[in-house]
Amino acid sequence: MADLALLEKLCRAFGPSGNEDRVRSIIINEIKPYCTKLRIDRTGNLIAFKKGAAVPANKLLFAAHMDEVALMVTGFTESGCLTFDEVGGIDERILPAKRVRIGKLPGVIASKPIHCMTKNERTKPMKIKDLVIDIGARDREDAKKYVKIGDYVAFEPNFTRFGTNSVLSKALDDRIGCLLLTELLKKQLAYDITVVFTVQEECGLRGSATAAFAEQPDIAVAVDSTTACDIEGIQGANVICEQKAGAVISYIDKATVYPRELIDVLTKAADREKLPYQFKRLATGGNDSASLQRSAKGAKVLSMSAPVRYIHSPASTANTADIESMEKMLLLAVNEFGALPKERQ
Amino acid sequence: MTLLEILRTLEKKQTVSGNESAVHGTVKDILGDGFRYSADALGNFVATLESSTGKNIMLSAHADQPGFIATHIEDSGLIRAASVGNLHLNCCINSPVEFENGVKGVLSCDANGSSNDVKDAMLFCDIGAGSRRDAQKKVCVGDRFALSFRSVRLMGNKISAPGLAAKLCCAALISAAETIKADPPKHTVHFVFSAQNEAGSRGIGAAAYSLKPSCAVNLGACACGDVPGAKGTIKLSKGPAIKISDKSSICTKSMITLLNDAANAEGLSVQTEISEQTGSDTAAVLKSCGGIPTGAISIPFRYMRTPTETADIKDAETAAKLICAFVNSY
Repeated sequence: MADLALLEKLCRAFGPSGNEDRVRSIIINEIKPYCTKLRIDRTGNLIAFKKGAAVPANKLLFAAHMDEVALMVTGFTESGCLTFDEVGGIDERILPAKRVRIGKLPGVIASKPIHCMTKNERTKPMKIKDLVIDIGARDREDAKKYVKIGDYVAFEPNFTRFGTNSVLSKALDDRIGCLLLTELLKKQLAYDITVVFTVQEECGLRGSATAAFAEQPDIAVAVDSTTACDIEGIQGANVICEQKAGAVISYIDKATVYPRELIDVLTKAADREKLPYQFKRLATGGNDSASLQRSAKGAKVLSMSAPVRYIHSPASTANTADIESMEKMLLLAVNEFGALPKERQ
Repeated sequence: MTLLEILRTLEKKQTVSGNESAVHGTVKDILGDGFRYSADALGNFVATLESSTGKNIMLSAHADQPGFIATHIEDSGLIRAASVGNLHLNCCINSPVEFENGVKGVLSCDANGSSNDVKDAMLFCDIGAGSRRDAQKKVCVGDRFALSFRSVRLMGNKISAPGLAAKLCCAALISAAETIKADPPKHTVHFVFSAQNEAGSRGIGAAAYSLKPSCAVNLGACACGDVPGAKGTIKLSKGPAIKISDKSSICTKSMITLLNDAANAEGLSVQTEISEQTGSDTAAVLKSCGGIPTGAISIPFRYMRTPTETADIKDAETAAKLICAFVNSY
């Protein structure tokens, strides 16, 4: 069973790229009793080493990112509202009227009221430059008492059980990954593993680069979330992946060409264990595997993602069956990759 | 083997990015004994001639060719794919393609095969299957395919073929390796057949990190400016070009000088390249480790990234001679 209470705690935490401290503290608290070694590197990555029953021939590393897509305060308006910009990729069309938190301070994303718009403006989605955040301040001077330029803004925490066996929340990307790797560290494992909870993935896979250089794995698995478009009106490859069909494995995306050998090893074992999995149908997006693959002497990489609808929005959803099958898939990855012989050089 | 014979042998193996290992055995067979061979996690293949001076030279050419990876099979049996490498997709649709397992198909795009702005999401491959079930008997998601190999001899020593840039640069490097082996070099020389260049020069950095060379020379392709609409001063059949810079790298001055001096000493005709290319193995090597003195030699090509990449074998032979001259003079 997926620990939804922990997932809720992780999702509700404030964690924009570059400000992952809260998420990191929650994770440290959970994993500390189970790790052999724990450290935080200069970039802010949380790096954990856990001894297993045996030393694998290939050093294994698993990564999930702690940061969520968010916004940042860039200035003030006369009336005491805040101008802002995105941190990580957000479809700006979804922003108007969303509730946000600047740290703990509540706010709402506001725009020009409809009766003040021209006919032309009414037909077009608003851009970030046309939006502001209202924190209920009297004026610019008042607002400056509570907020500074550079302050981070996240969507309001809103974790809810949803439908049949689904959850709805901001930041499922990639708190699901954080949950899965936290749970993995709590298990007795057949092989030693290194787990990295990375920072700044959403603005360019940045944290994982330094962690990869320091740890130099032979085999690395990026545990992330990817967009499921199994919704009304979308067909064929544009669906990208489906919910309730298991972990999404990619052969190629915008940042990585994945070695087939690792995919074959894992899927063969998954077939044997009758675990569901699916392949990403469109080569979109990217994840920490890109940095993990190319740093220092290089590594073989695999990505395993949760299918999340409405990703990078305050109302993303995921199905618990997928989280549970990914939990099993990860354990399988430890066992299968741990057993692989060292590549003949 | 002549350079042309080496090329013909390499052309038999399809090496779409990620599948460079398909050609490792072939390279080893051609080069034979005398080299120490190794491969790394990314698929870079290295053949080393050892020496004990303590200096080591890294010479590289990329082993991968541009192509496609199947990502989804539609109910209809048509196969969706992602492209790897910056192919001019507009020029590649309605061309025959071949999977690494030999299955033949046709590449087309939404809009009934007619578009001026083809994007990846519009591509599909038709292998003649009537349904997904049918298609899955022959291919599966994850399989790679490339433009069907079809080499054409033009006048003089010119050749035209898809994926020629990758194959010819490797052939030139192998040819140089054979010559250098016969006349053992002063320093250790690593011949690197790099991986995933087409995907964004992703492999070579890892190779450089492991080898920590004293200097590096990358052998690549550059675009000719001598056909209508093409820019720049590079001409076909006027010899390889010594690179000054591209959009992501400025070659090390001392290396440019050494390469030019070596060309002059041997009486080799060379050109000078200042390229519009945004990204190259040269750029990746320059930044590797704490920075590596890097130079580059480019073989001129017309019609790059299309089914008819065209080069002059003589330019490639001169490039191989230049590599040998450089190694002797370093």
